[in-house]
Amino acid sequence: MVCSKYVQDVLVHEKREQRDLFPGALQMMILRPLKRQYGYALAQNIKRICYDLRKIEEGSPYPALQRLLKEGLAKTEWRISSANRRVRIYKLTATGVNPLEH
Amino acid sequence: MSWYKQLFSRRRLYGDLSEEIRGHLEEKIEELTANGMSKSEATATARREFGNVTLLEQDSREIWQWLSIETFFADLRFSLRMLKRNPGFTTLAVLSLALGIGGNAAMFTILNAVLIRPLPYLDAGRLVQAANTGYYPPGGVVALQQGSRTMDLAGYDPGMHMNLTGQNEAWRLTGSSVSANLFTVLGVEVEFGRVFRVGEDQSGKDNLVILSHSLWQDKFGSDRGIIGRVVTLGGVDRQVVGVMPRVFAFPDTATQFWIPLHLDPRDPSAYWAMEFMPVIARLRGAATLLQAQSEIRSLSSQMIDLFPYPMGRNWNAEATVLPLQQFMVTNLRARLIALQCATGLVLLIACANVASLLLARATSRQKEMALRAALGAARGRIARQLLTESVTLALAGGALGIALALLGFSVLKTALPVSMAGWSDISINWHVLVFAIALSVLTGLAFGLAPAISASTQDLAGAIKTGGLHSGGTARTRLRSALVMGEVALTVVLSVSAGLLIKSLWMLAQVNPGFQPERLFTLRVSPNQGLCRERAACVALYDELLRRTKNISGVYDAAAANTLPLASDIPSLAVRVEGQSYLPQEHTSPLFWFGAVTPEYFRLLHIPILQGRAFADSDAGKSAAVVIVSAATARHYWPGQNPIGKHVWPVWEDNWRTVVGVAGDVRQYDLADHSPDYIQGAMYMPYPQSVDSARQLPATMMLIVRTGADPVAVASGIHQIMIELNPNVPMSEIRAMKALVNDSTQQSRSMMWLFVTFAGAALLLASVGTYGVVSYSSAQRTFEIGMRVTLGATKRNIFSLVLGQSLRLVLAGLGLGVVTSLVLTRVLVTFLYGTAATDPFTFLAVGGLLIVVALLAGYLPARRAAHLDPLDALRVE
Repeated sequence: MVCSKYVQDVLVHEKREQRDLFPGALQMMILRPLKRQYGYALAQNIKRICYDLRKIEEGSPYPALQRLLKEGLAKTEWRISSANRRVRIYKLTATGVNPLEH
Repeated sequence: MSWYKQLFSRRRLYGDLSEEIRGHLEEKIEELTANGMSKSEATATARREFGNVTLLEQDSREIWQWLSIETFFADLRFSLRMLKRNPGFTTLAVLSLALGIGGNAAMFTILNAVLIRPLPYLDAGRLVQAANTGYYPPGGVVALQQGSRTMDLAGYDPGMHMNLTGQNEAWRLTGSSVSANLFTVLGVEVEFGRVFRVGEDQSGKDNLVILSHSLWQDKFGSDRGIIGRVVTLGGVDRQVVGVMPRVFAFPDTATQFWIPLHLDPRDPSAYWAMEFMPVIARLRGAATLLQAQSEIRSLSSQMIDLFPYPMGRNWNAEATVLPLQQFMVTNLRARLIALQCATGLVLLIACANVASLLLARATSRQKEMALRAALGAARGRIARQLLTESVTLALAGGALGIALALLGFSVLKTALPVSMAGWSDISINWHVLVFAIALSVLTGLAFGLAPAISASTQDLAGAIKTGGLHSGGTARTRLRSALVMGEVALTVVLSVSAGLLIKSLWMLAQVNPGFQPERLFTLRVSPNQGLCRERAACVALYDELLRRTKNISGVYDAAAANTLPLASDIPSLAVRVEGQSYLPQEHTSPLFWFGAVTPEYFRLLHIPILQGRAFADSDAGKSAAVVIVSAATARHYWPGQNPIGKHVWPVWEDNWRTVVGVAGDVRQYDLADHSPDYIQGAMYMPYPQSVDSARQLPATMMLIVRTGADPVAVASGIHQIMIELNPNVPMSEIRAMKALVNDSTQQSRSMMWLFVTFAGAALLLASVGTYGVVSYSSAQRTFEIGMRVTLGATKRNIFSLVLGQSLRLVLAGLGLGVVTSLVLTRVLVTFLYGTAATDPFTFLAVGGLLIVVALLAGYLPARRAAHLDPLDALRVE
């Protein structure tokens, strides 16, 4: 997880005009180190790992995740978590793992 | 993911997202309660830490939508729902916008056609016309053609008539005699055959004709074998060399044939004097308008010495060269400007009105907006939604406006005297649609902006708490008042304009045309001029025609004349008048309008003979030459003297013509008597003695018939007689004299009705606008009014308080409008008759009308306020 200014930009300052500049690129920084995650765990991880982001709204990754899905950089599947909950797992696709090769 | 898969899977995606977020919250709550928090506290914390659930979910969803198009559609759906819920508001707004946009779309159609759309000639931007006056005799045209280095020039006849004979029936046609290179200058090709060749306008080579497509179709059965055939035009055999394409029109749409000029330098009177004609040209290479203009001026001054008679030294010294398109709309310009101003004003008023309606509604929707903002709607989002609403409104107005434009367009067309190439096929095309849509969107943004901004910058907490009755009011009310004031001012401008036009038309209706058109009908009899070379033949023809016409049952009386009153053509003669001295070098013989009439003419038209006698049958070709002058002419040339026995004669004649009578003045040119100022008198000659400017007996005559029977039946009876007398003489233009009088005010009436419609709409809008502001602000002052009543104000006091507000608003607008009108109505001066642009009566009437509007608009709110129960009013808080 890269706790950079970029992540903060992506999650907090959902600036509309920035959206289309680097499709998917910024979002990659959140998900790539994590391989597979679901929303709640991702939010908790960000809060735990990134000191600067400890107060972000937990819902803020969702729009970014939707964008990854739309770009085809990630896919989802419903699974049962270790806590025995039905959760939606986000997983990078081959393109998502290494977007520059595709 | 392809777009259609997205479309179909989106519902599932949204479902997944909601479930996911719900799961997120549940897990958080579970975790928090596991750490010892109470259930309710945990729920609140989870929600707080998650952020704005709705907003985030909305944002996440928006990612799946195509850019903002879908938000737009969502907004659109919402707008339509809102508009449907307020049918009164919607109808009013849409109608006012439709009027504004429709008027402008119709106007744009015309402007596009006459000003923007290029003329249907090759590279029409390089075509120019000599103007001011820029008329040259045939020899002058040749001199220009030979001398010019900047232009390729061609002269043309603006319109002449010739008979087509030798077919089954004789037809009177409209044509133009032109320089042989005219078609090359215009850059047009024939449909088939060929255009004239260089030199074919020389005398002896000129017996050729080119037909218009419609003439070829109507009179020659679209026979492609027409080329090379000989047709008889004006008694002269001419070979058909070409047929022009359907779209071609020059100099105007009425032209049915083109013949070459008949250039014969050996006949100086024809070559240098007969017809002065307009000149069209194509700029060569890189030549500019200014170069062409200075060249034409210097060529004109060199040409003066070529004339076989003395010319004024400054002849055509001020000639200008104008782009052809500009030249063609010269006489339309004033009308176009006036109408464009009017439609522009209507649109402005409509905008102001809708803006003020929207502001009022924004106030009543304040709570809704505040609630949305509080629930997480971004401010920009609210503004965007309001703008979508206004643009939707404007587009609905635009759609209806286009329908209105289609209707109004034909009315506009009648208000404009145009016969330009391509004029008839002007219609609402895609240019106009694009214009209307763009105008609608702009309009929507214009009137939606103020309410949108004021709605998206409001104080949330305050708005929700008070329910919107008191907050954010004053600034907005002030804005609304300003809008309504402006609206009233513009309405005053339109009403004054309409008032001035109404008064002008009324003044025109009061005009005594000098004759009575009742139960008269007229038709044109046009033998070839050649027939009248033998004067007696023509005189006998008309004698016999009149005699037999009077014998048709139902015909009371009949006469013949070379022209009709109000006909806007001016047969004229240069004359000498007894008692006037002339300086030969000045060449300033007065030009007289002249009538060549049969004796029945004066009694048939009820033109009074004020002094002396009317013509009689005894005033024949060989008798003593006599004339009758108009009363004004007699007054002008022989003031205080007896005109009977005075003398008038055409400049080239040696014999005097003796004045035997004075006839009442007749509006020969038009009702408003705008006859050109070079006409300095009017005289009548008995037909057998008459001459025209070509020193010939007029051949083409108007038959005037008084009948109690059906004119059509009588006319066909006359036609039968004519065929028996001479089958080569065509008859045309059968009309009721009443219609002639009616037509002469047609343009003024169309113009007036357009302005009355605009002004009526403006008045309606202004009164609604005023009503809106007054009733809204008095509703806002409910508490204050309750207080006043409690403190002893009477119903009367309250009533006049509210009514006073309405009056103040309108009076302020009225003042502004009167000042604006004094400046703007000058545009109308050319359309006014007997009415000054600052006509005090009209201004007073409009002022009175506006005060009535103010009282009407203020009455209902004032009554409502006066009847408020003070207890209820105070409880509003």
